[in-house]
Amino acid sequence: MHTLTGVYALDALDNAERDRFERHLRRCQGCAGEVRGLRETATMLAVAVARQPPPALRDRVLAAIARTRQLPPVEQQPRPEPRPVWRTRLAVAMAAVCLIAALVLGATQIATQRQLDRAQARNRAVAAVLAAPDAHILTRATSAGGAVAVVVSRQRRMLVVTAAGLPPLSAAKVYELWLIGAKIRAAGLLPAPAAGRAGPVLVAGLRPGDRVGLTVEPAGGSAQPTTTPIVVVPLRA
Amino acid sequence: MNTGDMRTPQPDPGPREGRDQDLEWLLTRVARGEQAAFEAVYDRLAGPAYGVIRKVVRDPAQSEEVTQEVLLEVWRTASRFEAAKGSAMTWAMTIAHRRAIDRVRSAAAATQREHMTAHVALADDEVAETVEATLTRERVRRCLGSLTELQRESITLAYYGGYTYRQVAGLLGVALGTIKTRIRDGLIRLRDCVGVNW
Repeated sequence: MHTLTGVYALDALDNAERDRFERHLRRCQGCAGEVRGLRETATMLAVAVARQPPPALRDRVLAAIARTRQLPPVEQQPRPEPRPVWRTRLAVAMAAVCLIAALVLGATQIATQRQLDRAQARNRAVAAVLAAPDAHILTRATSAGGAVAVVVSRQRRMLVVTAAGLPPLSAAKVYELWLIGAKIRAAGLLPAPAAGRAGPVLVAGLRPGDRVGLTVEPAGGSAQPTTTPIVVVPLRA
Repeated sequence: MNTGDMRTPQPDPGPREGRDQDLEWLLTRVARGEQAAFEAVYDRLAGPAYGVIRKVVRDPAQSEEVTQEVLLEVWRTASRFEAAKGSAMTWAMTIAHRRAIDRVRSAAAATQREHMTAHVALADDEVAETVEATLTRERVRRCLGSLTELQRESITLAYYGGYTYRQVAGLLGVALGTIKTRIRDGLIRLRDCVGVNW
């Protein structure tokens, strides 16, 4: 399969082979890198034969675009193996999620000054993790569908978890987070996903070597996991 | 301003890189529906697109038609361009080359192709009208010259001829596996020779 990078870059596969190779490409990081370089090379072959089309074409094209509607951008879906650009976008999306969470809290759930103070403190803590100089983001697909994103700050020994695309659960069940080190520590419940999104959840008390796990537990949560994690995110040392 | 006077000239990123970034920036404006930006994009892309389409399709009237489709596609799908996946020029040339190939392959299905022995060398009669194209053309010509004959022939038949590698194998009377690896090896050599930074 791997040696098809060249013929793929030149569009020299028939449609069926092309589809098959593109499926392979999604799983093969090495191939994708090579294909990028070879495609840029093919572009040089195109630029090398550049020739000006008849001037009338310009007018026709400009007239045509004036009556042609453009496609909207593709909305980013979580993918199992995100590229760096996706991570950046996710970080932006997460910042937006934080804001929305704050607004929702402000509008619907806050009855007392004390609740407001608590919500604001929580948002500040989330923002502090996101803004920490050593913060980095990790994402993993879950076996139940969707993906979780974890922003870790080792300095603050905290992390922030959000999830997107998790399947909704019945009222009798919840998503629960775990810090998995020498012992497994409960790290809080993930709020029920709304419009596929859940979190941000702030987790403190991170220790070196910890991993983050997510399980489905009976409502109210458990002291120790009772099911197999749908995702475990190793945190880079 | 003082700072302006003190500033030393920036190292030249090279015309191609500088202009490619420019193209990417223009595309983001096109995605927002700016027709003026599209005019600039047209002026950058029309030459290479028409050139490669002519190579593959050959018939001038049909080539013009395909070029129009491609540029319209660039307008329509500008928001789908992702800089992380490759340069803007490559994004556009991929659309152009694939459209050209769709045209000849569907035509080939209806009638037998007229030019089964495609003249696929970089012919001298073709006018490259920009400095950029002339430089690239010279560089590509020199680099193609450094490949083995089989590498060069299979790459030009596949890319400029628009043939599948199975057809290339048939035309050259060489085993499929051989063509596959010759094309890959040749492209890698070409990549290293022309100095593609990806």
